[in-house]
Amino acid sequence: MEPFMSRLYGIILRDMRIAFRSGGAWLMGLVFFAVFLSLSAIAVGGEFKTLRPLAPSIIWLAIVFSLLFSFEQLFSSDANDGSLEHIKLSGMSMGNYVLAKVCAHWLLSFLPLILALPIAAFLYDLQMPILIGLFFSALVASPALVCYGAFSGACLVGFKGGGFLLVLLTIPLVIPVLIFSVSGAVSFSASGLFALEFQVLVGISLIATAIGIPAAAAALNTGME
Amino acid sequence: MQSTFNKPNILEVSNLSISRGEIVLFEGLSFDLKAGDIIWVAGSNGIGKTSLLKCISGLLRPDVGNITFMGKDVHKNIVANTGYLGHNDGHKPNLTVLENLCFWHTIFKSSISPKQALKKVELIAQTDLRAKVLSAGQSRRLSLARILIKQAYVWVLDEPAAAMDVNGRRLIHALVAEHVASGGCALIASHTSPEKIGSNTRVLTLNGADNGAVYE
Repeated sequence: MEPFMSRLYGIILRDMRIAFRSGGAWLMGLVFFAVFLSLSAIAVGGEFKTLRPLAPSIIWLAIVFSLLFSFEQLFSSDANDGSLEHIKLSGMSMGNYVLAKVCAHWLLSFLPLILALPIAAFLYDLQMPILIGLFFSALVASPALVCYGAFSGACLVGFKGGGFLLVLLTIPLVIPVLIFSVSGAVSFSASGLFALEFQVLVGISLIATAIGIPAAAAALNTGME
Repeated sequence: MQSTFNKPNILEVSNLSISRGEIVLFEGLSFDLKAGDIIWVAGSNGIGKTSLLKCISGLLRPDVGNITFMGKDVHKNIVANTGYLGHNDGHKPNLTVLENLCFWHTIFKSSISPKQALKKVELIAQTDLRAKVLSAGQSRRLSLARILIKQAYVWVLDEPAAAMDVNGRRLIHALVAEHVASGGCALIASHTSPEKIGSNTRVLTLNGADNGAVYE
């Protein structure tokens, strides 16, 4: 198990180092998230009375949109510069590689969004229970979003202009996550973490992890030939 | 690395056919590589040198035929015993030379220290430079350092001398000679004229599907 973990850390550490030296490019998702939220608030009218009931849906839309556009880059850098070939030849299983990339992506793209939720709550004047509900629904749904996105990203490695196809491929998978996340965030104040929506989200996340990672690995292996 | 006395076939290629799209690159190619052997792969552009090399490393599946390393099919179990140098160097431009190499050190579970490898490819002065400021030739040297770190038996080098100066070419020859002397073998595709390194150097010329491959 020891080399497995050191390779995992190696890839995560490398990706984070590259991101931090990219001149802020890795924060684009967060910037998009903030811009989407403030523009939506302006578009809806800026009245807290009308904003408050819409807030969970708008915040969740912002999360999904800001993530959608990040998956195109997930594997393409390693695939295009030849690093992926060397990783394959190292004997490291493609599944482990995808797992490492997904973890790194979660840390770099999803974690900042979760940490920015209090700011969103401030913008929309949300009560504490709704904010905590959003926080937990984002946490529980994140494996599903990241794994589905990784699968789509892996399928489209090497396609020029794959971004558009990627969105088409990911959206059907993301719709159930979106439905249960929004209603989970709302029903958290009434039924807590044992709300039915959270159970469904955990289920979707487990399925997405179990299917998404091997499928992404298979797609990368096939795409290389 | 142990040297083998009775020289069993390390790498065996039998009845290999590869096509890209509709075009058949070559058919029925067979050869073997024993410890200490070097094969230069020659042939004009687009004849299939890179495809052959990728196929032998395990990156590309052949149409027909199989490639075995120590009796095991290369495509069924990646044996992690080929040091592959492709057209793309695969260095991350924003990481330093040492960071790039340390990453591969972790991935390859190597026992050679990255600094030692950098010293061997004469890149020790550039250790803390970002990979993006390296010249093409220096970038190639860093790729060579990655192969050294991998400690593989079979070296598969695709145009190793591209962008290399005279010293760089000499360095490649020296490294290959050292590798072969310690019991490894190498397969080199090159446009430069093949040179004799070590005791057993052969040239494999690819002539396209009509003529097959010719030995010298």
